[in-house]
Amino acid sequence: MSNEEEFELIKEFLRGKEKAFNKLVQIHQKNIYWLARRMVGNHFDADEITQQVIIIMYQKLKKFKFNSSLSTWLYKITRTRSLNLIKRNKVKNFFSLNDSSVKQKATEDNIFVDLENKEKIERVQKLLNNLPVKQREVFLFRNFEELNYEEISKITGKSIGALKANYFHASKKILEMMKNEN
Amino acid sequence: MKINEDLFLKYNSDLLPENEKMEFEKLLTKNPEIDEQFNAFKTKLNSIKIDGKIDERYFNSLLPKVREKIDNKIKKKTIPKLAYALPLLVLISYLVFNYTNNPVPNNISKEDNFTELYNNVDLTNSYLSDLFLTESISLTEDKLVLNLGSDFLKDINNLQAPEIIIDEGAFEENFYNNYVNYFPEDELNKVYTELHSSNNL
Repeated sequence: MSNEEEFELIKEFLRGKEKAFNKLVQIHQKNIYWLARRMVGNHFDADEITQQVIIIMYQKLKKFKFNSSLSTWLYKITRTRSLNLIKRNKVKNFFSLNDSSVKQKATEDNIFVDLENKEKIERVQKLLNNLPVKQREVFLFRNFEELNYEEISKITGKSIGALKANYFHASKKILEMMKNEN
Repeated sequence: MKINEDLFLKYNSDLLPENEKMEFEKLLTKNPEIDEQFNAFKTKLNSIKIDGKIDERYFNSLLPKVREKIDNKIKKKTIPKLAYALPLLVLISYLVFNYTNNPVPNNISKEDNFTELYNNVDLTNSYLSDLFLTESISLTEDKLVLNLGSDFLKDINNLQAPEIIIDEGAFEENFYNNYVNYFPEDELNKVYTELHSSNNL
């Protein structure tokens, strides 16, 4: 769907057509979920973030300025929410003695289509989880979302030079980890 | 130019200076072996990019779940607003009702107040007759209230009379001197005449 068509849907929603909002969610929900999931590393947290982003989208779409694409705007929100959750989880894990990952794992197992798919996703996630967050986000935007540095810079607010350096280190680490797998 | 993975990584990350970048691109077109190595590098790096699939039912259930949360948020926002609005409405209604039923009088002059006081005086059995016609008054504050009636002291205050020293001896002089100033000459004469005729003084 082109930006113009999306903008038309946003305007329809702002005029009160709830169906337009449903359509926008259907278009973007998978991108939001997968970005969040690769950032935070599990379905449980990704689900929470995806829901939060859709709620924000519903509440704040009236503030959308039509300067950038809706996906850029949504990536920005998803990234911020993911980073916040990662920080929160770090603090929580530092102070908590309970292991909440058992419950999360049970939820996660139910959503895979098949075992092969589950293994693939888990392998990639393991590699991504070993990257520092700064490198992980730029690697995801470049490799998975296929965005250029200018677009990533708009989303993250970081300089293109810093993004290039982070991407270089992220790619290098990923290749090394792949070699070690074999 | 040294051909290795680091060079591929730099080129792929757009970190090569412009001249080195052009040189490398020339090499790729001229040397199929390097081109093949570079393609193998890209394939390996992209192998991480798998199209993950999860149960579609999750995505189908996402919108209704979010819709429910949005509705709950709207309800939660509305209830506190009502909680503030209702008592405020009751308070405003009470104040408006109270005001319309008991309007506060304004612009009451000292003269109006005195005239009202004067008109209410029963001259045949009045404290004024005692006040003006008794030869000497010696009162404490308690006695004054008792003798002149409980409302008289209040009336004096309402009239915002000059300072009255309720003190034995001094009272008579202060009260008479200050209070007589409030009475226009003709009203005093009128009072005196009426008292005179009713009491046969």
